[in-house]
Parts: sequence; C-alpha cells; structure tokens
Amino acid sequence: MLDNLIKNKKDEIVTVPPSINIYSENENIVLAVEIPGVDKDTLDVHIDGDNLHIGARKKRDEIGKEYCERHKERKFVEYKREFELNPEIDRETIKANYEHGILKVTLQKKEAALPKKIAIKYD
Amino acid sequence: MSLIPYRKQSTWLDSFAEMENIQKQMNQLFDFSLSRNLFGDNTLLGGEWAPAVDIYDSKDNILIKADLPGLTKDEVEVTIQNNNLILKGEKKKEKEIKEENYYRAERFYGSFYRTIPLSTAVETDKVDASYKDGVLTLKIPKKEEAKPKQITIDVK
Repeated sequence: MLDNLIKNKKDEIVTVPPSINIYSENENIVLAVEIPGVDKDTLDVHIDGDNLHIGARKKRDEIGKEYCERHKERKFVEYKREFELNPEIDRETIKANYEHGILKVTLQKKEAALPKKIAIKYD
Repeated sequence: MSLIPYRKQSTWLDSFAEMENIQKQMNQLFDFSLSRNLFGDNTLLGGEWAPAVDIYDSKDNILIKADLPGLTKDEVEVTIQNNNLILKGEKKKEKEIKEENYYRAERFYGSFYRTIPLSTAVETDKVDASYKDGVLTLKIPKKEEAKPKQITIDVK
C-alpha cells in the first residue's frame, strides 16, 4: 500500500467526485458542477436508465519544453459523478453547457409533474 | 460460539487475494480523501479554500496556473508586491438563486487569498494574464539582470 502511495502517480488517473450544486430554476433542475480546465472532448453527460452520469477528464497542460516544474498541486484527474433521477424528470430533454470551468446541466420536469395553476373565479 | 458461514481457506493464495483486496480498498480511500480536499475539509471551523496552483520556471519566464472555477474577470485580483504574487478574490454565490431553491450546495463560496513567493526579480508591468475554462494562466517575464548569464571561457 505504501509502495502505491509513494509511487509516481503521474501516469495513473485518479477519479475524483467534483463539487456540485443542485438547485431549481424556473421549474427546471440545474446541476452546477465545478470542473475547471477539462478537455471538452472528454465531457460526458448522459442518462442511463434512471441514472445521470457526469464525467470529464482534465486537459493535459501544454507547457513549453523550456519550462521546468517547480510546484504542482493541480492534478491530472478524471471527474466522475452519478445521480439517480426522480421519475418526475424528463429523460429526453437535457441540456448541458460548459463555461468558466462550470458545467451546467439543465433537466426538465415532465409535463405532468409541473404545477398547474388553477384559476379562481371571483364573484 | 457465533455462527459464521464457513469459508474454505485452503491455500495460502487465498489470504494473499484478501490482502490485495484490502490494499485496493485502502488505496481508493486515500485517493478519495487526498484528492478531494487539499486544504482541509470545508467544515464550519476549517472552512478555508485556496486555489490549487502549478508553478513552472524557464530561463526567461515564470509560468503560473491556478484553478479558479466559476469566477468572472473582476472577481480575481492579481498583484505583485515585494517579489510576491498575490491572488485575491471572492467566489460569490449566484445571486438570482434563492436559498430555498437549493437541493445541494457543495461548492465553496467566500473570499480567498494566496501568496506565491517569486524566486527572482520580475517585470511587473509585462505580465500576461489569461483566463480560460476556469484556469488562470500567468506568464511573468524575469528581469534582464535576473536571467542566467553564460560566461564564455577563453581556452588558451
């Protein structure tokens, strides 16, 4: 175990669950996932049965050969997270948008699950 | 005597497989805890966050990369003072979302401050700063006199 901890982890990809905020906005459910500096080609958002999968891999930095590494904290990781979807959520309409290192996934509730406004008649 | 299902442990290979399994699980545990919170846990008492930073050095420049997800340009302040680079700012909550609309809030919000000592004298007014996909990149040119000089040796 210690061997593995000390071993050079550079070639090994560590999977990390990203920090996430979930909130409702105009009857939609929005997931804001914090994944800075990922390779957009590896961004993967999909629904598999009742589960929503979110995955992405960090982009390898293109640092010129003239540079020498002095200090390293930003790890080359793979972000992965899974959520179970409520049956009220529509599986067909799902939108995703990546900006400033935040992935926003917008989910819609099914038509039947939306609140219906009932008009009240006043005499 | 407690009732434990009998498991055949015939060969010594079995216990090695078990050991390997434990090792795997321990490694996963370490990976999870080490990679998730580099700066202590985000609890009430230890609620401190600072951006993760990489520093590279070349003959002419110092290159710094910092992970700052979800920040707009005016929320980050970069200054150089007494050969120290200071990264300062505040991660603000999205204003339009009301507190009661949150189901889950794991992302850190609040102010951060980080000082990075620079090893050499730098050209403070020629810093190239760019922000892309939540990553801030700073290219800081070294001062001419701080660059390494090659001394030619006359062979006689």
